[in-house]
Amino acid sequence: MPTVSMTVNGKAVSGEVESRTLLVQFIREHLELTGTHVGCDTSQCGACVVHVNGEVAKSCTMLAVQAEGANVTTIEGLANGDDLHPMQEAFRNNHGLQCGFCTPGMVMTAVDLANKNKNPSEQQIREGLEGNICRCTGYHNIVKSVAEGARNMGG
Amino acid sequence: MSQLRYEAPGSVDEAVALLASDSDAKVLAGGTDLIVQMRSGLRKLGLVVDVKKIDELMSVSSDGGAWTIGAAVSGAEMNENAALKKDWPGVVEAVDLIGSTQVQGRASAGGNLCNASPAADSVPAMVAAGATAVIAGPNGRREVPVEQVPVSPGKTSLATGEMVVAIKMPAKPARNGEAYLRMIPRTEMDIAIVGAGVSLTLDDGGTCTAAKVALGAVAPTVVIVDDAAKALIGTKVDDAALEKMAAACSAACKPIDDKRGTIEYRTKVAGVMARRAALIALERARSN
Amino acid sequence: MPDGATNTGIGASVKRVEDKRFLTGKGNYVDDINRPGQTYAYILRSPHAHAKINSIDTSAAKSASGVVAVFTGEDMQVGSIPCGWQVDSADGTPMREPGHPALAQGKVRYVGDQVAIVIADTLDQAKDAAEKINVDYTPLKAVVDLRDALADTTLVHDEIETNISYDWAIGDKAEVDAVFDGAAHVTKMDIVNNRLIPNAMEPRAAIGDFDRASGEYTLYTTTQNPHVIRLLMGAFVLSIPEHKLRVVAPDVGGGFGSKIFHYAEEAITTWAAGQIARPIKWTAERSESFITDAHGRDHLSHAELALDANGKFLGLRVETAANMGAYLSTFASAVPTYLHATLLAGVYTTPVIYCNIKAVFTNTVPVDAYRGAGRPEASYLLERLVDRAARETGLDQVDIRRRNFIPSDAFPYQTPVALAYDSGDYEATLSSALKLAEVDGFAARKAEAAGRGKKRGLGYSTYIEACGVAPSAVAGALGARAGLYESAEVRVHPTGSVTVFTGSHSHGQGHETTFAQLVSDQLGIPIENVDISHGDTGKVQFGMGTYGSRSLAVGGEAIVKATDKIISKAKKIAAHVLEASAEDIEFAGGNFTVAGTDRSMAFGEVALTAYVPHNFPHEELEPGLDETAFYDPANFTFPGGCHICEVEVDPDTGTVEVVSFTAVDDVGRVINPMIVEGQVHGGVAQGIGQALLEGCSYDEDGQLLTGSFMDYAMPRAHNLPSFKVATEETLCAHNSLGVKGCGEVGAIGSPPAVINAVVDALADMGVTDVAMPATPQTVWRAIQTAKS
Repeated sequence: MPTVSMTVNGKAVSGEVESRTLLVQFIREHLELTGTHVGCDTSQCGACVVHVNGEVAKSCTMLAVQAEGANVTTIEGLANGDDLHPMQEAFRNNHGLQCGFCTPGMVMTAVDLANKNKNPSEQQIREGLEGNICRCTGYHNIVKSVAEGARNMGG
Repeated sequence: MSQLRYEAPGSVDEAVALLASDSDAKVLAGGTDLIVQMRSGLRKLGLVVDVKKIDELMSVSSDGGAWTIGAAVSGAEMNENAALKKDWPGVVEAVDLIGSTQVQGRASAGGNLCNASPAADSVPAMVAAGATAVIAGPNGRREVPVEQVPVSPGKTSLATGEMVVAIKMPAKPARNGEAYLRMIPRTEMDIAIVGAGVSLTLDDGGTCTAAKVALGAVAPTVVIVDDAAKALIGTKVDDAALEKMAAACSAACKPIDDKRGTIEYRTKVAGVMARRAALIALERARSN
Repeated sequence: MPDGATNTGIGASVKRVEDKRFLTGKGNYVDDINRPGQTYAYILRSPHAHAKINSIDTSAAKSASGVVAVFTGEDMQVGSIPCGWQVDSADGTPMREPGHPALAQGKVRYVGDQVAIVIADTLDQAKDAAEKINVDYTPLKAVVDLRDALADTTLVHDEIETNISYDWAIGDKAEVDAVFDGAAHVTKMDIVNNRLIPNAMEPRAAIGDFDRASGEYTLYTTTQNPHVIRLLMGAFVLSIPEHKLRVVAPDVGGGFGSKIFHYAEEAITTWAAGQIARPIKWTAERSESFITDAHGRDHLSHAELALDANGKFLGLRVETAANMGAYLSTFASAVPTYLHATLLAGVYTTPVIYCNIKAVFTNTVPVDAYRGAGRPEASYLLERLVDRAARETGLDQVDIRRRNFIPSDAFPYQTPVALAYDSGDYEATLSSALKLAEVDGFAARKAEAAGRGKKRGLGYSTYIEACGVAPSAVAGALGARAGLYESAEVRVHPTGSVTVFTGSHSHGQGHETTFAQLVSDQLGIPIENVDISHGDTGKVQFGMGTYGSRSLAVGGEAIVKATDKIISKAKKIAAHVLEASAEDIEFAGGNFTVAGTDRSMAFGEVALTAYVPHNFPHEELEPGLDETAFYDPANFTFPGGCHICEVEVDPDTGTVEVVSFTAVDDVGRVINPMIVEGQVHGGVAQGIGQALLEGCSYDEDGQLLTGSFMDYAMPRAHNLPSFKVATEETLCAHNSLGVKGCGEVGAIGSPPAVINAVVDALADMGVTDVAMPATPQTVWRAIQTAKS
């Protein structure tokens, strides 16, 4: 079985995987970082979104071996100790989550969106969240959260 | 499925050698189609060749106005290339329509082309713009118009060992404009039931001198509608010309009847989309 | 009443206690749990909608690498999965309730029906082995369409000789018919309430565990009501007594009704864990969820409304066929009857109503409660009918509603369909919504849109729902096989912090915050000192769970009652210490004071004294401060309101854009406005989803055509606008908090507002009806049909 090595949340990790092992399986099962979720099997829902080399990616659409040598950030790597990342704080402040299941992927996508566009409009936020499904919030408060998070990230 | 073998070669030659060694080998670019098919059990994967480690497939260059876009360059990267976007906004917008943000970061025009879906968004736009595909294989390289790559749903004209390494866009003609619009049925995520790519060139007096109209999702492969182009050429692209073009588009459709769209609806909307795309292309041509 | 110092009391938008764990990836969902020695299960399912199983050969699978065990229906001889509600047909015969086996017994009845479980050391091994199972099927003709099923030519269950489970009615048909005979106008419509797939974002999962030493089973499951699962599975299916069965529902990623029901996989994993004496984890893949989670809605109705010459409603007549799917799921029988037909008075004074319901089996996934459950079907039917009646009689949409509203001074109001509304003010929510939606400016907006080639429309829905499910007396009279109260235990610890054990379960609703607000407010202690514990039958005394917008109105009241008992006991303790009579002790601001004196004890001091009772008169006063209450409400609660939707339609493509959506709801007293608004947003999004995007469809062989997120359109951020949401408050008359419930109002009120808006936009083109989901093609087709 291939061995794969990468940096996850700043920590060097490696493990034996099958070629068919998805990045999300490596993260959840090998690294036991269960904050990254699996909500579908067709790469639609976005619950599994992580950052790979600073780019947003659906970890169910990548083989673990494709992330060889990559720098991966998951939802567990976002906060600084007890201090929430500004995007996490904005979601809390605006009631941008209910059941919490889509939240990790939603927050990771939102951080990337804000990195690329420091002052996104409502329309840009809504289009930017196209790849993330939430069944609870109707997106209203997520959109508010992303706008506030982007502002507080220094936009 | 458990037999999956993953290789990530660093050069086109190595990739071609791997692909030539196994007729069932698959090229993995963004993986946005292939891995989903693997998970659903639609594809039993053997050898998978990841081409994202090959520099040539990951770079965009321009030479005397003509563009060479690596086949694995993502839609997001194309969108960030301001000069490319200025020249070929319709193509870039079409590639950018492939999937959501997270998918755009990985999905590529080359992958979209080789997946050979009748509804592939980038294909009608590239066809209208006159793009070609550079194909590498055991016997060297060849270049074909992109419309010659997909031959039927899910099938390409590539021989064993061959792979698309780049998409070439010609130098931008003066006073040319192009655009791509699609209709998604809203019963599902983002698969078009009609896609329309239109490219047109004007003379100084505003008369259309050249045009190309290509439709996606209304037949097994992309449809080039010559009658639609003819309807525009020699006109000022006025309402009458647009009506005629739209009618030609509707007439050229050979869609399937499925739960996403009936024949009648697809046919009618093909004309509507083509007309609206032509209006955007016209606007762009006038400002170029 | 609000706690001014910390602003965490009733009425404050307290930030949610549960958010930090979810935002940092520390949520603990079933699939995140791993038990020592755990195995993995793959469930082999029927590829046929209807087939006879001749034989199942599992030998190759059993000897495959890593396989621990393979079981089929032959191995698992247990009880049938029960339905929780008894409904009798109009002729008095009980509903037909065919057996519902956890693993198929000789026959499969829908694509997805469970055939075998393969248990292995890894999931991949289980999956690979499942491919080696050879099932010899004889495919049978499937009956998929409701109309076909009613004809009884193909039977889902041979043994009952019909596809109709029950043929039920409410109201006096002869009386209603007589009213129609004399009516000035009758509006008639055929109405389809489209079948939906709930799709909570967390797929269902279950871990069965068995302790060889104690003989105890534990089931970790994605449920909205762990105690109910323990009761149904333990008592009816597996015959495991409650004290040997623990059911844990940890963090659950959304339910919307679909996680109320007792599912086969829960019973299979629990039973099989006992067989192999190792934990077994099963997690649904999304494609599996699509074909096994109970679907929602799926009603086919014909409705007729009789009006007098002044537009006053005289009578309503409804015939509904409700799809049950292949088996009766836990709540299924109650949905079209007690949760639908009884709501047909709506907010109107319609004096006589008759409704007939036929519950029909088909070879499809079982259909059961989905957010709103029966009430969205009722409000859609009624509000579409009222909209049509206004158009036919030339009355204004607002006017026809006002002419027929139950006036605000008429409460309590007895409807002709069993329910007695306790409070409401429909004019208040309507007029508030008219302002918020800026209806006055609509004509100008419509003209502006027309200039861009777009058609604008405005649609209304003035709806009511019955929730706070349910008063046991009423539920019992209606056929519930269980009481529907709620319980709470408030445990005060020696240092004054509090743990509340509630039978409600939170899977997105924010109970850990709202319930803590209640207790913090009542006891005058900081909210940080209150913990809410739920979802574990090993910790919580009992509970009926979360559904039917009942958590606050029933579960919250139980907490209030238990906290009342705490205060009462604490007064006795304070009286003892302060050497006063308990009657003279006043409790305010967290302090117990002897009336008219400055002698006082803080709540924390009383708590400590309760557990350090050195000089208690034990014959009068027990140590400890821990109280339990069971609360059974006197009636349902009746939230209601007005939703106004504004759409823009592209007539060339049929694309509908929701440009504005306004919801003004009366949910009674609001404990946490932020959470209430969030609940309304989510409900409205699901309602707009039903109206415009979501439609479950099967082909004629019973294969699900919309079996993934690629084929089933879930609402996404760019499909929706930001919502305009407000509340108007009339208090529930029969609970101490005055609360009604807010979880379902959005999904109940919104679909008719959306479709009425689409019809309004296209009315001048001759369109009178558009089916849900109003996809571009459906709308385009309606335009073409009207043109021709």
